[in-house]
Amino acid sequence: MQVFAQPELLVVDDDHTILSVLARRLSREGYSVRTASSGQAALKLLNERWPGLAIIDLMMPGMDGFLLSERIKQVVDIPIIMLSAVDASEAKVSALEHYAEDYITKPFDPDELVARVQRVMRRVPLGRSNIVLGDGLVEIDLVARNVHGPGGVQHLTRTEARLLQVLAASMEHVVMTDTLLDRVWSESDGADPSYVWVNVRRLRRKIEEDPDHPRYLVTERGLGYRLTSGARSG
Amino acid sequence: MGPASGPLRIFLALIIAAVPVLLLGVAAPLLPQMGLTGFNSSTTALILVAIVLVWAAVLAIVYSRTLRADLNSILALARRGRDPTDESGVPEGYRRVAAALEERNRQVAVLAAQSSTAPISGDARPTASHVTATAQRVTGDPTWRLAVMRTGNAELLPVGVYHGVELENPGTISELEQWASTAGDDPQAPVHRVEGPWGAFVIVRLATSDSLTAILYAPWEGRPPPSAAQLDLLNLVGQHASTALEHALLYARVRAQSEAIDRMAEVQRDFLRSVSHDLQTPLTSIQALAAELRSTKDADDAAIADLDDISFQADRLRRMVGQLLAVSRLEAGALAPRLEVLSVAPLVERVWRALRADRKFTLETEGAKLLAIADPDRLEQVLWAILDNAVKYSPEGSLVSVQLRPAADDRLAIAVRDQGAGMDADSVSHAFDQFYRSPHATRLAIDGSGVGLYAARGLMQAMGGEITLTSKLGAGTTVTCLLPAELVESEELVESS
Repeated sequence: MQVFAQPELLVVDDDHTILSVLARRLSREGYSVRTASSGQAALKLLNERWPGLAIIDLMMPGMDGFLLSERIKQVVDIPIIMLSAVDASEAKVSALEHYAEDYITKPFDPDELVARVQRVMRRVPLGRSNIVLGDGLVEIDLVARNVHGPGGVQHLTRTEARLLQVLAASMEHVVMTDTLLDRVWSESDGADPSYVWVNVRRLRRKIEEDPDHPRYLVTERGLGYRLTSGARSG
Repeated sequence: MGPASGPLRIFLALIIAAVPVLLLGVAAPLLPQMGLTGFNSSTTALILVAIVLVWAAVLAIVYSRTLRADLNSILALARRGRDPTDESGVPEGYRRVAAALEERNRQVAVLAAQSSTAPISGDARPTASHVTATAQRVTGDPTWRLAVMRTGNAELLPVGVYHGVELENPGTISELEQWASTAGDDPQAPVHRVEGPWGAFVIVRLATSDSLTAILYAPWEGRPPPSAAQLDLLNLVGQHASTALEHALLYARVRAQSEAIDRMAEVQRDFLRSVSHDLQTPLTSIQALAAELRSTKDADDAAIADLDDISFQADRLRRMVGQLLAVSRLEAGALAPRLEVLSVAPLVERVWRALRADRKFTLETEGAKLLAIADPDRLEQVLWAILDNAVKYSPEGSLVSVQLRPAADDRLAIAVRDQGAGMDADSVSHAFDQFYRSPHATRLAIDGSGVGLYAARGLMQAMGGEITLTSKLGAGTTVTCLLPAELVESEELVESS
């Protein structure tokens, strides 16, 4: 992998051991890490400068992870990885996905967190949250992860949403299969090109009228895939 | 005419009609001898016909009324076949029987309806009042009372006299009811009339269980003894009353028990959730710290081995806590898997490595390559539970094999086979029950909570999959998971453009 000057991370958790352990683990990966043990403390640090990514514990006394994420996103769109309890209710989880690029449930393997940080850092900025294809025949909401398409309203998996996000960032241009693998999956996922094929096939069932003859998500033989608006005028 | 019955009347009519013919038959040859000559055969025939006609006319006049009545009856019956509401011409006796039958049917229908709509609540008291009211309504006699003499649970159904009034508190049992419940020559008879110091009564003994004694009774002084039909009806009332009371008591008992069980289950769930939750953070820390220390350059080999053990045990503990949390989420109905496309083989390998088991291991993929549609974290939990069991219940050095193969309906089968102790049929049937551990497993003194397979099944179902287990004592166990899957076909091959 290419080596860049690693961006700064902010870790917010009320548990001091976790804070110090995660700070050390992430530093070892080359990230510079700042820590805060509460939402208020985090906001103070954020006033000084914005990190490249924030890792925030959902369950904190006082200002919880939701509130903090909301405050952050009001000001700047930095990626957030949420640390959540595995027994969080579904309502919480779906709300959480509004703010967080990713979340990882406690107890987690720190290596897994590193892998997720790396993937999120590779991600293309969320240039837009909506994609419109075929002059409005297909509308994709990447935040709510919904497709209003030929088959009615369909839910997108996280992977499908990421895939679309990466493709949409290069709208009308070919994205190589390897690039998709790199941007959509983290290393710990062990993905290979078949992951791309199958996810593309499943995506087509959701957005294409005739998945066997795709209009929007087009294969470029030997290269990769291209997302095209498929507008009749174009 | 006398009150002769129909066939007899017809027979008589025939005899009478035959009389002139017989007479003529006898008289005709005698006519010439009587000096009445000059009659040729045609004249004789004419006379015969005239006599028959006259006789027939006489008969017709005599019988016309009764014949008409019979004919009308027959016609009425025929009409009744077409129109059951038309009762004209049906003899009074038939009508009375039909009316009686109808009344009886109505009573039985009322009784049945009343019994089936008897209010069921945790309290059997309303049922007792209801049963009494039903007896009164069905017999048209408001003096019926229900005396509950003994009941298994006086809280649910108090002992006392029920008058059939809604929401009543039963009256106290007096000497009258004590006497009535034991009076009578035949203690086996469900319905009988008894006479004693309080006068005559009709008693209906309710056939109930050992814990419940109850009678329906009504004063019968100065009334004729109940007819056979009344006895039948009372018997029926008694049976319905018994059933209704027994059901109400049973229902109340079951409800009380299930409420207690629900409360216990809730306490258990809360406990499970909070304990597992509290364990999460320290576990994450321990694991991260051990990994951190292990990566420092100055650690010696012994320290590294220890740190590996710490990591291993922390990982094991983390997985077990994860299992408990999965159970608590499954039970709260709050587990929504995040389905993704994934390759199962690397996941199996990763879980197997995490187990660090001293067993031979094979992983083979048969048939076309499939990617499963599953939640990677949840599938890992399932695989860990199954493989952990395979290791726990098999001897060192034995083989644990995993086979991935296509299954029907676009699914992927993951079969995990061990050469371990196996299970008997009874244990197999309970293998997926929560906290179940087979006696054999317990005897082998192997640690285990009985949560693994229970959680695995719940997780598999949540992911739209299935899990099955086959086993034979001494011959190992095979656990098979079926998951929705997608066939891997290279886009290069599929796409024609």
